[in-house]
Amino acid sequence: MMLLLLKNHLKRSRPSQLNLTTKNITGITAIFILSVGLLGLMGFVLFQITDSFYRLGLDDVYLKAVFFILLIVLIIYEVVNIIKQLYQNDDNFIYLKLPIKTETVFLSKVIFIYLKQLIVSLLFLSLTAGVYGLVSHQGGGYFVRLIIIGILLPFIPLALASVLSIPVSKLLRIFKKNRTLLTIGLILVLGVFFIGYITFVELILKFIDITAASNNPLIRPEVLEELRTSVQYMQLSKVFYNMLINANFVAFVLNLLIILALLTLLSVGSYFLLKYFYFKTINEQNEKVIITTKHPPKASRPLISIFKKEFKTLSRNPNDAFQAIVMNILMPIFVFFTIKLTSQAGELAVGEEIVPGITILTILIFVLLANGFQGTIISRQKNAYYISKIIPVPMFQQIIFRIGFGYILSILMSTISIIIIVLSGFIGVFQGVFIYVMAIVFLFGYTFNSVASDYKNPQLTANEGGFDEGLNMYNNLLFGLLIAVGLGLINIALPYLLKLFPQMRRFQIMKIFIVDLTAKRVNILLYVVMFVTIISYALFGFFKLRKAVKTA
Amino acid sequence: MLKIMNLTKTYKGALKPAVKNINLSLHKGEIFGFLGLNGAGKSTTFKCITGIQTFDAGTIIIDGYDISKEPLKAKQALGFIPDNHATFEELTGREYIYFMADVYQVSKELRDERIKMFAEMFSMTDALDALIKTYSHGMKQKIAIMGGIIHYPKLWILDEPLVGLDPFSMTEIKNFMKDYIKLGNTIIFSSHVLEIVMDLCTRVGIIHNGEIKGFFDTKEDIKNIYSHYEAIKNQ
Repeated sequence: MMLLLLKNHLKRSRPSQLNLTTKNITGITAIFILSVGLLGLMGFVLFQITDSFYRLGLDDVYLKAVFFILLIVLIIYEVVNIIKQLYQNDDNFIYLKLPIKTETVFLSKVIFIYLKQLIVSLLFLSLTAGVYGLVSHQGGGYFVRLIIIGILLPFIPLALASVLSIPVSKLLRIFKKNRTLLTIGLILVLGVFFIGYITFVELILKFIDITAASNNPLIRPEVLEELRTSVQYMQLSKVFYNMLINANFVAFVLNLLIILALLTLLSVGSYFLLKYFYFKTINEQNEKVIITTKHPPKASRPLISIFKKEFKTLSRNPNDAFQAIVMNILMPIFVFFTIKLTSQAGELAVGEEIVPGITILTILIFVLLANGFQGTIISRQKNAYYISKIIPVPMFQQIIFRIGFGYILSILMSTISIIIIVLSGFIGVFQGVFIYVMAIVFLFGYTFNSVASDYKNPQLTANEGGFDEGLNMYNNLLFGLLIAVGLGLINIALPYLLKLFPQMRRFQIMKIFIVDLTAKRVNILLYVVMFVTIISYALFGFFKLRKAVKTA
Repeated sequence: MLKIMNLTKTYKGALKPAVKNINLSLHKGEIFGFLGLNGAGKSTTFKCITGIQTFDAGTIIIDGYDISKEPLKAKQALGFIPDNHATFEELTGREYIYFMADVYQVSKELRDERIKMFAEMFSMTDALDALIKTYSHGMKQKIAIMGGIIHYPKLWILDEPLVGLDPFSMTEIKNFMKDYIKLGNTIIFSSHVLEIVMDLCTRVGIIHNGEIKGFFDTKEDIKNIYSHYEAIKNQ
């Protein structure tokens, strides 16, 4: 029975079948490119960090920190997974009706969660401790020990997360009734997480900078001492570190026994706690939560009503609210800290001229991130899409008013972001206005293009909030990303051209096309190219949308 | 009120048309029943009439307006309840009905009066201000019906409207439909339950494999309806 349930969990977790039609193929390719790009970037960064710590001789600090981070990440990830799988999954309604012991269902789900964590654990350890093993030329035994650790480690966060999930699920039940509280909570958590993340990256960048300078870098002894002291508190990580690094078999077995004893203790403890709370909690979860509104609606004109409806549906769906509201509201903070961090790194590497280029790149990427949700405007309506089709309001007007809420919020947040960046002295007023205009036109460009794609090929049968729902969004995100990077790179290059050839210079292509240019003229030319590109992007999207709606 | 001429629709990748050469004419004050098995073409016909789907050939005229040429004027005259009774689940029942009333420009007084009447009719008064996503299957269906009728359309189209409703609500809606046509409105609805169609309709069309097999008067052709439908069911 256990195997049967496990098989069922695995089958259901497969991504939905995507049809390889000509319309879908660009979206699937975009998902592939974005995933490979993201993994590649992550691998590159982790490799750099691993290599830097190795060259600094901070092996112990690094490996203990790796285990500590993995434990924390897995605890958070597992709490989310446990809540989704054990408490909120609709399959509980099906399983509870079947002649299967509730304990069997519970155990099969826990094993399924463990299998998911195992993948994360092995992947993360390969990219960190695995890479460390390669750069420090460790023998085969090291990698065998690493695999054993990779298999054992997720059990500890699983036991801890099972217990933590009980109060968290109760808390979520309270949040469920109060959407405003949920949104504020999400904004706070994400904001704090982001600032923490930036601080962490700032520290890492300092290391990379130090190590990049020399193969034998010098770090003040007190800093080294401070780092070593801080990892001393990570007792559990220390056991894993000793288990990994000690080639001595007896020492390995001793550390393994410590881990197994701890695991037994945690498992037994969490089992009894869960036995007491789980079934009680699941019964509470199965009880219907009635959510009511206090303010009666007001009669409005058709288009205003469409605008208001869009705001309500977006703000009341946690997935959409996260992108549409939380990401937009946090945009100024994200932009400020990212520019602060990247400009510091850029100034150190090539000089302060890089800042405007980095600013435009950052703003455009965040505009894209905060407005990605517009690319599923049709698909996320699912079966209710028919309402848009039958009501006597032109489809183009409906779409414009539906995307209006995202526009207002995004334009407002882009304005605040630019004002903060200018007032902080990262860029001048002229540069600020230029970047602002580019960002707004870019916002229109992305939205029109992605909505047009979604209108032409809506994914109405996709899973709600699933990656297949955003099939049309990914290729537009990828294209938008390419434009953002292109424009960012041109802006980064502009000031350096002035340094490169301040005097008139002759350019020729095969002795046919000859032109004399100064760097200033090239800069003007590039500004024109950027404006034409971004305006064409927006206009192309606008006409694409108009045509799609007309021909439907 | 509704005139369909030679309607043909073939879905992309399909080997045969979903509906073929459909011809139908409905008059004011009539309840027309569309009878057919699952996949016969009832829902496709409704999707073409309401403008949800485009069609390959034919003409559909609603209240004097061609749905392909003057879609907004045609849509103003119709109300539609789909078989999946989908609505905007993040809205409350009242917010959803208000939204529908807004887009059809129903005055505040009229909509409130109708909401009160429907809510009492469907025993939904206490649930109106709760989110639709918290409703039961039957309640969602009731709210979809309320949203689709709030503007009192001249042509009311219902796809399998009574499936899943409790007996009390079923009787209420059937009585409402009978009263509604007395106001000069027209109703077309689909079902595969013969008894419901016979109880409500003045005329019946039997559709099978995308083609209309015949029109029957429910008072005069009772025997014919039964024999035709039984023959189709046994195929």
